[in-house]
Amino acid sequence: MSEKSNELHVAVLDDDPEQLELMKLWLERANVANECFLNSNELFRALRRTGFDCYLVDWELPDDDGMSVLERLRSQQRVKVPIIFTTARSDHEDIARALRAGADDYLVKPINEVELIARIEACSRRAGLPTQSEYGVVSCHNLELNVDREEALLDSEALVLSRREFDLLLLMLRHVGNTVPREQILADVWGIRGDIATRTVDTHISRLRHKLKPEDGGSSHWHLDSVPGVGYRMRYEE
Amino acid sequence: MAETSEVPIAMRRSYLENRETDCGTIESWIEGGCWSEIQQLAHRLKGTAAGYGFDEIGVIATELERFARARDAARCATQLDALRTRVARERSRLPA
Repeated sequence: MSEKSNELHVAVLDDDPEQLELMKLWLERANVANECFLNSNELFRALRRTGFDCYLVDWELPDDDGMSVLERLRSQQRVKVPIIFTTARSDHEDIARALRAGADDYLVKPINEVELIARIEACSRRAGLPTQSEYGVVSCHNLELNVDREEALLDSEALVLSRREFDLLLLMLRHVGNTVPREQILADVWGIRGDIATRTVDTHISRLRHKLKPEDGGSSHWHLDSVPGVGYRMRYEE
Repeated sequence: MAETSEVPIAMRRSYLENRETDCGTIESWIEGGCWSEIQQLAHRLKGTAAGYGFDEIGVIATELERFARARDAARCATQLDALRTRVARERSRLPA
């Protein structure tokens, strides 16, 4: 694989514990962070505290069916996060129905390890999610962050960022499309644990917004939205 | 099958142990005519067996699902025997 998937956070929903155990093994082997859920209620509970970059959803669930999970996920996501259906159904009509309903891809069981990882990567690329090269470069659309050299490029032009601003931008980019709680920002960027009253995060976000604007004064494609009472969310808009 | 060769032995062993339990369950379901239950279980095995490196169990499960759908007790029993034999053979192949 030319690109590592180790910045992706994948949710797997399947009512079969043995299938989940296998997928977890494969995802971990490919350095893909993951959370596994045996039913849709668990998944939607988790969505209150975190977001995911990709969903692997079993079509046939005891408490729900994959199609309605797909509809609920789509209605809750502000950005189009890839959803891949997994099922032992293999007839063409089923596949067409899933894709027409909004699934980004479809994996027929028995699932192959190599194919699973490749499809997650392909869907993530198509969705414009950040990828990290083996040289430590995290890139998404027109933004490129070299983690090892702590350099940032916007439209191939260098951005002048302080160390904290770089770390903050990297964190937000890795969670693009998802809300990053203020506590997580403080912990990951400043090493501060617990919810403390500080304007530090807001100040740095404000500086980043300014620096992500193009030099010609046009509007930025990148947005750092405030999510009141929670944190911030980075998103890209054409 | 090459990609599944690295599934840890403990996981593979546990998978086979669960299939031994399934064999008893399937037997009672055949006796009770619980066809949809057999179909569901077979459908599930069909989806996981190859991932654990037991392709043959997947093939047997596919047949079992088909015969359960047809409510064919005799053929289901034949597939159950095949499953038992295959599970025992695979267990004997796993390192101690």
